[in-house]
Amino acid sequence: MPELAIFGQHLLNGLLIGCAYALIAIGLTMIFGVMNIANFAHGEFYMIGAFATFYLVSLLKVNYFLALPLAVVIVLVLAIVIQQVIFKRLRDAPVMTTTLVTIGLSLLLEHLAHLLWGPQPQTIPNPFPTAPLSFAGIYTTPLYLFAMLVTAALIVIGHVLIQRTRMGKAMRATFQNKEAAALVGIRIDSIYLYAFGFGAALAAAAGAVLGGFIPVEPTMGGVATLKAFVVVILGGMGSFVGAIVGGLLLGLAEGLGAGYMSSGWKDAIGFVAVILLLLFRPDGLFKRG
Amino acid sequence: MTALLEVKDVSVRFGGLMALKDISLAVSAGEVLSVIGPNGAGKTTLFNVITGRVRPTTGEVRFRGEAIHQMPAFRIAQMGVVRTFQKTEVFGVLPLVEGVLAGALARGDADPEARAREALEAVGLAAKMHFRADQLSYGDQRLLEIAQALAANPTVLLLDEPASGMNHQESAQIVRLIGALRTRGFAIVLVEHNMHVVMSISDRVIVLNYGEKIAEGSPEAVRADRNVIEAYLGVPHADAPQDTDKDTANAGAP
Amino acid sequence: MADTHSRRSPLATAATAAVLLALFALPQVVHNEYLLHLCIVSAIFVIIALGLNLIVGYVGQLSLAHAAFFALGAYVSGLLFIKFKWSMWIGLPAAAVITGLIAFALGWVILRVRGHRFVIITVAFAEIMKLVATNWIDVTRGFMGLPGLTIPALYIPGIGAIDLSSKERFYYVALTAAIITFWLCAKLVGSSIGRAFVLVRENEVLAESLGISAFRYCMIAFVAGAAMAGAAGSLYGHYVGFVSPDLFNFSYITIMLIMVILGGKGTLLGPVLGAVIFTFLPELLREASHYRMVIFATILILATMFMPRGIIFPLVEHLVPKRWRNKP
Repeated sequence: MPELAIFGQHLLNGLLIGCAYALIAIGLTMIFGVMNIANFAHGEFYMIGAFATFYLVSLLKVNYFLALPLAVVIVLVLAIVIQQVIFKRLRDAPVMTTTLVTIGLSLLLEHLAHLLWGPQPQTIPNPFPTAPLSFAGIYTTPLYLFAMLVTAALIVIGHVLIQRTRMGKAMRATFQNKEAAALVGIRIDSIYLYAFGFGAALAAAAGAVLGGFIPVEPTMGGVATLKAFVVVILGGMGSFVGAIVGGLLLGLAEGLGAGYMSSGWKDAIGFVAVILLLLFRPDGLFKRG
Repeated sequence: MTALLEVKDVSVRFGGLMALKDISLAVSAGEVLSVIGPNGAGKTTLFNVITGRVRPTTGEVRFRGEAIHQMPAFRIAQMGVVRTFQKTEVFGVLPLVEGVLAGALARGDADPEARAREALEAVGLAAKMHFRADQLSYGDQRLLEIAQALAANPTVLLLDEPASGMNHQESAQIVRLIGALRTRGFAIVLVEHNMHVVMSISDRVIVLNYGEKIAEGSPEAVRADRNVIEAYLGVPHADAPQDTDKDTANAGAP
Repeated sequence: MADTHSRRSPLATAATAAVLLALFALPQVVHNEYLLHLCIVSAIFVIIALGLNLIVGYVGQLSLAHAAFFALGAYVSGLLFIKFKWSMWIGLPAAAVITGLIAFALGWVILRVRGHRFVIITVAFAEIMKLVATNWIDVTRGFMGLPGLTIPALYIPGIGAIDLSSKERFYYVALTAAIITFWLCAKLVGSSIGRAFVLVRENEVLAESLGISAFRYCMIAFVAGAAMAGAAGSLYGHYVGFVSPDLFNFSYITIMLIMVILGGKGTLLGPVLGAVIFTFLPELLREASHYRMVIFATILILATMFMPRGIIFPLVEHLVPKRWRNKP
């Protein structure tokens, strides 16, 4: 049945973006939960991840599969610098202060990107054969499948890191009760560094992977940040599961929305959902975890 | 004497934790009721329920007969049930008068500054009126908190550990102040760890342990109560009250 | 803070009079069209900054919806002009009122939460408004925008119609609006409401426990600020002559925040000075628009971290005698 295939196609189109949203949102929600910072510059890590990949592959002729982790490392280094220079000093600063700083940072990075790389949208070269694959009337490409695989794997890895490793557990402990965590011997500064770096790395990975499908340009970070915030609010600020489920749901909803409504309005889905959610369930869809 | 403030069978559950279980109490005008108990017994939760910061899972709170436990916190304060906090809360960078007038402002008082000045005089901070709140010593800040509450023209005062961290002289001053307030007709509920203060000033004492009321009565009766002694096992005798100080408290201030 | 105990010294009154005189005399001395243009835009941004300051500086909530209210006001006024041929004299108050009502409805829902979630939801609102302006083509004409807005003439019985479309003349309109806004803010801030704003900002939990409804005062600041932004939007739209979804760009809220924060939030003069300086300053760095933003962004970060009272106002405080300023 063609309707089913079309439906499936829209869902599939939304799935990758959903995974990307989930990746970006996990980092954002973690930074919020551990450091109590609403990182408005988060999307810029996504953007720089994409740009770094583009430059590595296109200009430095680095192998695509090598460029992806390399780009993440580059962003990680940047994130560490930012954390040590700026956020370390703002450890218990009020909401207005940290938010304004992240807004400033977002502007700084975006306009630096303009200066360094120009406004021209780029696309990361595709290392896979471009011939579309199809099954049951739904079309996709090898690159798309690879991208989904990578993002899904990263989500799982992220989940495992948070739930199973010592660092992950320490982060979650800090979440719940900072003073208690410090008393127990957890070094808060290390946790902050880890959380911030981890979040930035995930966002960069999303950018690196997605850069093969969408135009890579300096303003792409802004949109990503907004969507990530929508996901984080829908899923509950500080909830990892919420970020994952929320990201996937939003991506799928937008995929369907773009397919059945005009693509201009699809962006509104998330924003309206946020305001509706606040009307009916102020604490988010999930509890903090 | 009809009770001004009544707590009836209030229970508060946070997730899996029962913070308060079937707590009932009543306090009337011109009475000091102390609530004591080990840390974590639920004393601050009790205050939070009475002042509307936390909703009871079951039970109700009545002020002058009217149910207030579902009202927003600011409404309850406007009605005349005002509290201080365990961790000192003041209006940081504002001059004392500007912060203290908050309660009067909230009630639409015509001259909030006059109200603030009166409150500062009542606690003995009138001389420091133009200081900034964050420039005061710890002891003065605790007094400031009481002034803030007084300016809101309360009927019921809930004082959360007003003598904590104070030396003997300062806590004696608090005892005198509470005595004076009682004479003026306030209904006062006091949470305190300082047994000296509790024994000096209380008309009645309630003991909480793990969210439950385990004793109620006069200070002497409670002090001798077995359950209370068990709950406090390990508390050094130095905290045992000196009877002579009761006279100081009852003499009160003018 | 209501400085009811201080009397305005004769020096302060004289200085105020002098400044007002200078402001009104300005077009007689300055004839450069470009400079007058900057003065007009400054005046409009003074209104915006004063409004934003109520929410950000006085009650202490970071609202990123302010630029959206500005753009909304422009659209309201523009639509009334295009559909009904109603001039700015109706469009401006309508913009203020309608924007205020929208802010009321929005605030009713979102001011229940504060802190981070509030900030993010104001962003969501702004984005929704942008999407509506861009996509609801039947009404807003999308990116084609609303062209042809004009500055109305002023009808005085007995004298006739006074044309206000020249820069010199419109400057007076903008200046008057800015002065009225300043006066309104001064009255608000000096009243009990203004004192309550500060109490909520300094310690919300404590203020609530003493009977002050934080929600109520946040609403007042939010709605008043939004109405001012809406009025400014109307002025801007008619002055520039064209209203488009570009007015919803994130760059607007950025510059508004810079004006208020660097100018000195929580004071009356700070946002005024911030608005003027940050209207003129970018023009000096005009060609290097991305360099300029990098510099501004860096200053914003540094100022927020190290100079919470702003840059401009503390500077002025040094120079101006204590008595004739409104202290935060």
